[in-house]
Amino acid sequence: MGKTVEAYRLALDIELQAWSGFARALRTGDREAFEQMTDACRNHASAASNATRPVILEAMVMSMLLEQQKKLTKLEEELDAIKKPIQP
Amino acid sequence: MQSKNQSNPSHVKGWILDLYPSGLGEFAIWIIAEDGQRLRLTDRFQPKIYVSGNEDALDRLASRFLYDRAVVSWDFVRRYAKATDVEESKVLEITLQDCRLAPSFTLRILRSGRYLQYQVFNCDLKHEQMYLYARDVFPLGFVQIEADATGLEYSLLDCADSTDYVVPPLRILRIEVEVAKEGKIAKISDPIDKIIVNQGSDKMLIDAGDEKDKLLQMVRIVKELDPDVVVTKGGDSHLFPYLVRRATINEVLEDLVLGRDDVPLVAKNTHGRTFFSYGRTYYRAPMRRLYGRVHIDERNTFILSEAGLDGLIEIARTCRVSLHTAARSSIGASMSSIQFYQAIKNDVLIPRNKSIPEAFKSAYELLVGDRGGFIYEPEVGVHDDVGEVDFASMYPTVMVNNNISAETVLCKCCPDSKLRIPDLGYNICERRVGIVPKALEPVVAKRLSYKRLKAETRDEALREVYDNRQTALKWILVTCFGYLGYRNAKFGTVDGHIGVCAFGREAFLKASRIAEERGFRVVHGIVDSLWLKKKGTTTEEYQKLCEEIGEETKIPLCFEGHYRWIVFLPSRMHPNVGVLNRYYGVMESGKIKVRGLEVRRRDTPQFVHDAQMKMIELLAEARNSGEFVQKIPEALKVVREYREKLLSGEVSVWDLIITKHLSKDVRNYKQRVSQVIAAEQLMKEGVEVSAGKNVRFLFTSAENKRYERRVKVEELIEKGTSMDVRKYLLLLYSAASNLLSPFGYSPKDIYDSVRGYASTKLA
Repeated sequence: MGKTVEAYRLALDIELQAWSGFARALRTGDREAFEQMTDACRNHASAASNATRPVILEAMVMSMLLEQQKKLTKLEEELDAIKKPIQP
Repeated sequence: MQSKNQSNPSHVKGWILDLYPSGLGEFAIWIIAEDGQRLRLTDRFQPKIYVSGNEDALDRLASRFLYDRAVVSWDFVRRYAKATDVEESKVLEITLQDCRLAPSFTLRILRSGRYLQYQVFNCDLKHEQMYLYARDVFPLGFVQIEADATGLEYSLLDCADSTDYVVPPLRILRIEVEVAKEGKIAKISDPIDKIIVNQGSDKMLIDAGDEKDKLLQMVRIVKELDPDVVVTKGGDSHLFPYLVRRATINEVLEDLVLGRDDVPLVAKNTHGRTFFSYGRTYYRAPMRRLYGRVHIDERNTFILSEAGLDGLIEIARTCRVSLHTAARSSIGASMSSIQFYQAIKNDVLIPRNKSIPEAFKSAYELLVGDRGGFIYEPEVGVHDDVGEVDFASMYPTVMVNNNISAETVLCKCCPDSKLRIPDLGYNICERRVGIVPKALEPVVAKRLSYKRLKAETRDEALREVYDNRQTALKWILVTCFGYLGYRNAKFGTVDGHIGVCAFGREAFLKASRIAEERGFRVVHGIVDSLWLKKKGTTTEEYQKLCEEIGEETKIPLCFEGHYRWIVFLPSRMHPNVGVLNRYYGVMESGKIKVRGLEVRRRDTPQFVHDAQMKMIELLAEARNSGEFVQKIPEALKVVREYREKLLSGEVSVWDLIITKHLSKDVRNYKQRVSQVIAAEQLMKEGVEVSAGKNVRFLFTSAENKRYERRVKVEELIEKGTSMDVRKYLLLLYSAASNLLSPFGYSPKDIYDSVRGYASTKLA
């Protein structure tokens, strides 16, 4: 294993390294947001690895979208909770 | 003791202790008889090797044997020349004069066919293994032997699969030698100071007379006590070569007989082997044999340190390898021996080189297939209500259940088989059971019964025996999967290796799906272990879940236990990302489980180990995560306490020794890392340091510009050698922050809180 095809986690590290130029050019706030996105990739590495996509960016974007969707749902729920007492 | 030429007694019952080729075509077998006598029997043994090739070529080859003194007889027989063959084919069976002739004879055949015409089989097995397979017996097996002029006739009164066998009482002797050192480090030119011989609680000190007397007295004592097992520390690497050297100097080499045969110790000037396995470099010294006794070098054995003598005996019996080989060889080599035995029993020939190639794969198939086990990233932080469930022997069970072996995966006989490898869809044979599963099945079953026996027995001593035996078998099961993909494994197959992972992932995902359906949350999972979280669960609920998953996946799942709390640690680089295998927690039983922390690492100095362990033990008093957080300030007090100990000079330098592994030859290091500096100090003193060895040293001035002053190797530490306090404080803070990192503590925060600069953080 890992001799012929790079393990996903290693490939991910290499890919993120390739994006370091992008990260370097970002301003502080933006860079933090970018780091959250890369953390999303790392935190869903198992699922992304199991997807076995030849283009690694596809799996990474999917991981980020998933994390975003989770955040959206959470925000929606929180918003609903705030809205309820206000509505008559 | 019996002399060499005495003839065999006609009828003996006993255990096989040791065996080796003696005369031409002859084997010596040492038996511990039922009445306690140690007997040396001799048997005729002429091994058979096999050659395949086209029929004309074989005929031509056979015609030359008439004048060949190595050959006793030959015949054409039918065997499976390749494990993948569906039908037996005609091969040449050659009986050789003596097993020691096999390597050279094989080479001759191969050369005469220009390495193309002939394949030679069963030609590179160990001599004892050839004999044991041929007679269908195993070391320490209980046998009845009838002897006549032609040799020995065994009837096995024992079974290799048995779990309640009798081990004869073995006489174990320990030899230690103290050297009268001239310098700081003992050299081979230094004379013997004293020899200490231990048997049980009896201790004998040999320090009278000159060196010659000491040597001769040792020989006399060994002869009198007549031990079955001789244990040494470093016998293979330096002790025996040293004794030989001293005996030569004193002109008593001829009398230096420690074995039961009347042969003096040999000083073969062979070097050990350095090899590389799973990212680690190892060094193994060459074997020093005592004929008729089993010599075990405590520094040159894996299985003895893992599973004790019980485990070693279990391996020798199960794998049919002699005791001294089992003590030294890698578990993989022992495990292969079971496969060879199964192959011979099933008329399958054992190839000289692995001959089953990997199936062609497209890049996409490689992407899909070439993956390991499945992992769920841990949810970082402290958790309540977590239980752990583990698959028992997952990969071996997968191999047995799904019949995975070199000859069964992608077999030619059942292309439409229903049994298929997930993801890749390769077919697996339905007609016959492969050699690998055949070899493994009894081991898997035996380990399960040892585990059961261990749980059932009330006898403390017996429980330890069962535990040692099951640990030994565990290692066979651990290696069997890796060997499936090993390039030199004779019955290995990369496609099977990939398949095992695929089956494993499938079972693992199935298990987590079932657990989630039952209301559990998977907080972490690695290959065959799952950490599940659910509020207020009972042991019964977990056991029911295990049963259900076990039935569904056909792999037994065991409930390891509840955690009072468990902390999954984040990566050091990315504080929001969990990493595998870095956690610590306390089970309901009070058992502390730690992975990936300093206390588990071999290079951690005792001082840091103790401090971190004390912190964990203190935190272990917490019953849940709430109490855990409240305990953090107390844990920090431990750091302060250890800091003060170090600063006040209470800590001995011996508790600060760091052990590091040399992964390559010292000259090949590009940077002067600490272990290299230490190794160079040793080499300067004339000590041989090879890759794969450990060096132990102390940090004396870690930042010093003159690198040779940074560390001091353990052997050269003198009174007054002082440690680099700053360096050890940093190690201490870093160990503490590793424990508390999910609560926002960096080494700097630890330092601040220890010095009272900052208030304690709230988690």
